[in-house]
Amino acid sequence: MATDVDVQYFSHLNGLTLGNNWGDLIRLLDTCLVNGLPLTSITSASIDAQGNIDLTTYAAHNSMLFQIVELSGFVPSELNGKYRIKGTPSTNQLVLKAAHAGKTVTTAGTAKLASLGYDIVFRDTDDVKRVYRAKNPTAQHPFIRVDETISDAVNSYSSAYAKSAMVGLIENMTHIDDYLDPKKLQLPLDTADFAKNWKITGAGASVVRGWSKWYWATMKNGASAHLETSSPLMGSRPFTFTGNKDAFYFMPTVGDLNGVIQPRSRRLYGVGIFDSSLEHTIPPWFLMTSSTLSTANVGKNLSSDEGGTPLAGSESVARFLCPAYSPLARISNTDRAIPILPNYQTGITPIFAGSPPGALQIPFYDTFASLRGTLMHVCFRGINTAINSTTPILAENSMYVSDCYEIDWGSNIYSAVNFYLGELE
Amino acid sequence: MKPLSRKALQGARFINGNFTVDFGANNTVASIQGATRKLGQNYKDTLVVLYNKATFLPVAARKPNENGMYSFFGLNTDLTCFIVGFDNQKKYNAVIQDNVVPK
Repeated sequence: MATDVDVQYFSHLNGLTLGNNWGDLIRLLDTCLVNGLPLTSITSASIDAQGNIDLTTYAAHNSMLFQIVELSGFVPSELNGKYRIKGTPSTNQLVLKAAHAGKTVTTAGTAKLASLGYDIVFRDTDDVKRVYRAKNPTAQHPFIRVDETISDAVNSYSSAYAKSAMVGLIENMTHIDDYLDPKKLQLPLDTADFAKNWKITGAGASVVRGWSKWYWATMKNGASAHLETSSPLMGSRPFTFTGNKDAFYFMPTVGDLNGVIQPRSRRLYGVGIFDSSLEHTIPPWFLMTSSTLSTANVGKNLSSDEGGTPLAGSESVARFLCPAYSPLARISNTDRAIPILPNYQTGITPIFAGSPPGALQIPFYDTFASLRGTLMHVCFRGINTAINSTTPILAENSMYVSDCYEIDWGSNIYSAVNFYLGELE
Repeated sequence: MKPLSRKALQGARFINGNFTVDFGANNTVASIQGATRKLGQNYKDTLVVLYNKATFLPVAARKPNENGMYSFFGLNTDLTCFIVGFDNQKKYNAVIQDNVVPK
């Protein structure tokens, strides 16, 4: 069986930086979604007896098992393409799973960690906004708008505050700020105010910036709340980023406490489409995000709000967002998706511990009693082996990557999920 | 409405060892594939057990398919093994293949 080379992942362990700086998120998204990450130059390449490709790199490749490497400029040309990493014997050696037995490399080209396969559809002159969309999209693929704006010339959010981007989905966009059109569905959406997810109101510490937000640097204050007005620590943060052109998930370490970036204090964000069980008059979109409309100086309980810790914790916090399934009134207020799980203890429960990694797909329904579909890539993890960072896993021929996220900021309880990457052979 | 999928994805069940996350000193995954034979013919009525040479502990057991072929996936290149094939008919002695390294 051919090796699956569709679902990719990235990690801070690849040398990608995500620090307490504006612009760091959209530049990370540009790399992971659109451009890929070039590896250092290849000093030698050969094909082993099994047909695998052995690469030696000039400096550390910083790559991990089961990531997808894309080769180009190789001779013979049939070597060019995408491969899974099946071995990292040393910091400058890679083994790629391939079926090229008997061939000889005559020219070594270049290698990069392949992107997930998106285009930047729109960008702004100030370089603080992006609209991404899957390459060769279907009608269901959303325009994903990511906005790091902190000033609209009237109101502004201090650049020293917590770092977050306003994130949402819009259909049929024709320009980067195309969010006021009442005929275009958004996620999230309040039909009383089409700009609700994208505006800055209020002054000073009473500023309210956006609605659906992906934080990547915050300061934890006390047991569970964090204040946007507290300046986060400087320094790069661990993260895992997984997905393909249909959906991706982003797990950034956002919490600082007592002068230290808390390495396991990650969140689970996600966006894209799912395998829908209903027809597509309403697009099959989902969004895992931090939803908050309070002012910057009000403590935010990111892990105890509805949808705060998707897929874990309790029925309310485990929720996420999806459009309301209302074909007669397509442009309706956002609904909430309720995942169907064996329990709310993913990564903590040992109920499937006999068959690691205990991966079970996650279907969901909504608050109007409709079964909606099944999430792609992300799986419940029914084993209790502690996960501390981006962790590749192999079960027979099935490849996974797992990472943790914090579901209780007061008690430091960490859940974990499995992402299914495909089959190795 | 189409029925929803809630598929249980592939897991691994090793008798001894933590090979789902332990990829050895070379951090390289690998597999073992072979066939069981009796008197020169492929033979399926066997139980093939993979042992870790370093610990002499069983790692996994397989029943060959209808052609007598077996495979152990999800191992790593640091593992040196020996494989024992038992005849379920109990007519022949078990056979051993020593110093097998996953590729």
